Formats: sequence, C-alpha cells, structure tokens
Amino acid sequence: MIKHIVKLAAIAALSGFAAFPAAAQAVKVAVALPGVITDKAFNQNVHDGLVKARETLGAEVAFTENVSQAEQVEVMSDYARRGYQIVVGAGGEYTDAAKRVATRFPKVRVVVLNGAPTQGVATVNFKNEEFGYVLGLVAGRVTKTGTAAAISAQQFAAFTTAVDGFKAGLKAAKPDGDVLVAYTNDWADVAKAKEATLNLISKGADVFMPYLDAGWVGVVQAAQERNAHTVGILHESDNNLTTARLDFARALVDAIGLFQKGQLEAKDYRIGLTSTDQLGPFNSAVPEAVRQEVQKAIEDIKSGKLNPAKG
Amino acid sequence: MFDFLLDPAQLTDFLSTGLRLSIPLIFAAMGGLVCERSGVFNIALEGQILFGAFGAAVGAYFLGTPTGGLGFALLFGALSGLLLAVLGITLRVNQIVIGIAVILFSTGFTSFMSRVLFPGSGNSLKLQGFGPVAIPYLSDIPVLGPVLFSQDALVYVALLTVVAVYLVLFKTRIGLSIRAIGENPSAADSAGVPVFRLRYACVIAGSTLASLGGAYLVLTQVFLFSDNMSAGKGFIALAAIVLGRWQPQLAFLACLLFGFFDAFQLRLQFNHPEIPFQVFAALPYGVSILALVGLMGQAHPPAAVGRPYDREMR
Repeated sequence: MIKHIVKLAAIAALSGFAAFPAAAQAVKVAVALPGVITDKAFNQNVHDGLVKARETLGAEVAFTENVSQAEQVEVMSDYARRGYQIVVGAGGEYTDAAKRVATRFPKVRVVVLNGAPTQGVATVNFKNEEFGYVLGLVAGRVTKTGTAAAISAQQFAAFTTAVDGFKAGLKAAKPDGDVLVAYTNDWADVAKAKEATLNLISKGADVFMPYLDAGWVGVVQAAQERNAHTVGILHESDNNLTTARLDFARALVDAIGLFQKGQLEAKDYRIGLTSTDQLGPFNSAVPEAVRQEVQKAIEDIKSGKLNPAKG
Repeated sequence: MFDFLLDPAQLTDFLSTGLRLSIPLIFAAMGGLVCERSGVFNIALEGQILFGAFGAAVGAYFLGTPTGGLGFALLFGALSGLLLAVLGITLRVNQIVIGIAVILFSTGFTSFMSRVLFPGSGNSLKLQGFGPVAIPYLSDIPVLGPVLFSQDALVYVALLTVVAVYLVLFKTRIGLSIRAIGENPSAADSAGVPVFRLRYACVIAGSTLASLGGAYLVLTQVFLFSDNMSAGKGFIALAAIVLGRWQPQLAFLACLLFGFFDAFQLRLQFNHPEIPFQVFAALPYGVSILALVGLMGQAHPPAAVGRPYDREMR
C-alpha cells in the first residue's frame, strides 16, 4: 500500500515537473455563452476574444455554447471545479449565476460581460449610452419618418441604457422624433425578429437598432425588403448606416491580460467611446456633414461636454 | 390600444404577421395530429421542424432552387419519421423517450452540419425562396385580399393541408382505419386493418408534414438557416393538438390563436412601454391555459396513443 502511494507520488512529481513550467504561465479561461459562436454578433465576438487570448497570451481556453438560464450555475461551477482560473458569463443575464459561483469558488475570478455591477464579480461594460447616442444621431439625420426603433429579446440594463442614448441622439438630430421599442423574447428567433421589424415598419419606423444574437439577421432582412435602414450595435453588416463596435473580444483579452499581471479585480470596468475606430464604416446613405457631426459628438462625449444620456 | 385595428394598412400587416407566425405551427400540428390519431406520440415535432429547415437550406443551397429545398426538407422529414417509426412501432421503445432523443439529435446534427456545409455558417446564406403568389381577383379584396390571397405558395399548402387532413381522417375509409388503430388496435387488427403498416405510413407522413413547417421558415420567411431556428414552435404545436382536442379543424384554430397572439404581443409592446413586455409574451400561454381548463371541456386523447401495439400482448 505504502509502496503504491510512493509510486503514485513519484509519478505525480515527475509529471508535475514536466508539465508545471508551462502550466504556471498558461492561464485557464472558460466562457459560458448564451448562443452559438457563429451568430456573427455577440457570441462570435466573445469567441474571437478567446481565440485571440489563446494566440497572444497563450491562455488555455474552453467554452460552452447555448447555455440556458437554468444551466448557467452548473456550467460555470463545473469550469471552476476543473481548475479554470477565470470563468466568464457572456452577457448580463449571467449576473445572478456569477454571484453564486463567485461565492462558492472564492479563488476563481468570475467575470460577467455586460453585467450590472455585482459584489465579488468583475463586470466588463461598455458605456452603452455613449454608443447609443452616436447611433441615434446618425439615425435621426437619415430617418425620413422621424421614427426609429430598437429591438431586443429581453429587457436588461445594457439595452435600456443604449436605448436612452439612442433616444437622446435621435432627438438631438430631430427634436420631434420618436423611438419605439420591441422585445421578441428570443435572442435567436430570426423569423420572429423579422416579423417584429415588419410591424414596426408599419408603425412608421424606418431606422432600426437590433440588440440581438442570431436574430439580428431577420431585422436586417425586413429593413432591406422595405427600404429601411439599420444601425449596428452587436453585429456588423454592410446594410448598417454605421456600427457601434462593442469590442468584447478586445475587452476579454484585456481582462485576461490584467489577470496575468494579478490586477483583475472584482469591480466594474467601464469602456467608453473615445475614437472613431470604435465605429464601423459609414454607409453611403450617411452624408459627409453627418459623419463630421459624429466625430464632433465623440469628442464632446470624451471631454464631458455632452451627456449622452440626456442629450 | 386597439387603434391599429381601425387602420386598414396596419390591420393588414397585423393579420399577415399573425398568419405567417401560425404557418409552421399549422404544419407541425397537422403532422403531429396524424401521428397521434394513429396511436403514436410524436413529441419530436420540434426536431422535425428543425430537420425540415435544415433540409430546405441544404437543398436550396446546393441545388439552387426552392423546389430542391422543398424536396430535401421532405426527405429529411420522412427519414426522421422512419426513425421514429422503427424505434416506436417495431422496436416498441417508449415513444416519449425517442421523441426527446430525436429533438436532441436534430439540434446537434443540424448545428454541426450547417457549420460544415455552409461557408460562414447558415445565417449568412441568401437562399432562393418562393415568392408570393397573388390569386387573381380575390387578392384585390381590401384587407382580406392581401392577407389571404397574395401569400407565398406554402401558405396555401398549409391551409389545404388542414382541409386534406380533415377529409382523409373523417370522410374516407382509410381515415376510419387510422382512427380505429389509434383507439383500439387489436379490434382493428382482427377486422383486417394492417395496424403496423398504417402506423408506419401515418408517422412518416406526419413527420414529413411537420418538416414542411421548417421548410416554410427557410424558404418563405428568412431564406437562411440559423441554429435552433425552430425556437420552440414544435412544442407549441403539441399544445395546439391538445387544445384542439385531436380535431384538425380545432387544432388549426388553436395554431391561429397562438400565431395571432404572438403578432398581437409584438404590436402591443411598443404602444405601451410602461407595461412589462413579459406580460404580453406570456399572453398566448395564459389564453391556452384558460381555454384548456374552462372553455373546451375535458380533452380525450386517442385511447391507444403512446402504447406500442403487440399482437402477443394480452
């Protein structure tokens, strides 16, 4: 028996020596995703970040797709148990699960992208109102009817703040303009997103801001069929007037980099809109004057002259 | 709140949305109803819609025509039906379990294969689909014309399917046999009805019908394939069958109820931002519960549904 244990210890020591130097550097990161990595939107963006972290930081990465609300705690705890040092919930809907996992595994750094500030959890957020404002400004200059619309699956903080900014931006361009809001209750249901958009068009909206996963394709399709426009916030597409690049890939890589330096704390990180390369290319339907106006708005937001939540 | 009902243009849009949201439900409910009437539970409708959608995308992508897509959708539906039939009728595996197995299999298989087969995955496709077909004269009627008579071909197919299922089940000799094997297979067997063959035919035909729901999603609604695009429609169709008390005409109305409430919900939301949107999202389910407990009385499923027939069993 003792011999056995010695033998095991020797094997453990040997394999440990062989593996340890590499393992000491490689940070292990796991992400729970609400959707699929091919949605050309949020999930894909986060996955890109994982790939980049593996390539540039040598991180060991893992992910699970289509994690439903009911499975969040289970999936994240499983990663924590298997020795992943950073466990990420991709999306604000993971906040509650993250809090529970963080309490149960205090040594693991739990991160929520787009989540409300939560004790014990590192949350990474974009200042959605700033991005929303700029999109609203462009929408307000291009709209013919004066009505724009925002579509999401569920009501949550990141979306409502983006809509607040969007409204303020639209009103800055068209003081009597209006923003309609619709929820489809499904991030990936393309058909329903399309029907919601067609209905909003019949209510007079002609610029759309979809805040969806795979469902955004339906919004873009409906807009194209009825000669309306879209602005992008989580997805990029040639049909967008412009796109707010909420670069979660870069945010995730930065967070992992901070962790390697021992600096990733359980606090709320906020990323603001500071330069034009956080916006995608402008569509030809956006006049030059508007592009300059956007440039100026970004500088005013940066300098604090403009409050994007109020206009 | 209901002002959109007074404006013809908006009313037309509302009604068309409702109808379009109902169509996949109608196909799936009719398919499921045929299976259950013959005494076989088909819980797999959700997976069969997904198979149909995937088949439609594969066919339309590789053959370049919507008809090719339709062909592949039917093929995938029939294959999934054959699988169900072999397991559930011949091998007598628990029909609920195999239904769930088919759903799980369809989700994994179609997600994986769509990444292998389509460049940049399914949701960047721009497939060739069916266009609207306006029926002369009838499509000129205000409101009803654009809603009912200038729709895509598959919409007419769905409506005709309901009529066909009703006529076959209740007005033909074969329909009588189908209902008989769903109620009392051994009595039907002793009267010379080929129970096994007929159940196979019903399950394969029903599954094929359900897959048309998926084909509709891809070929006339969104022209692309996205993972899990059935999004729970198969389960709602199951509810519609129960709500419709296993009668095609009532199940059809139940599908319309779900579809129109969905459309209604999409419309109500932005008129009333102060009311939580979840209230509206839950409306169709609330209505179906009310209908189940109050209005429709007791639901009586076919007596032999879910029980594999075994000649040697007493």
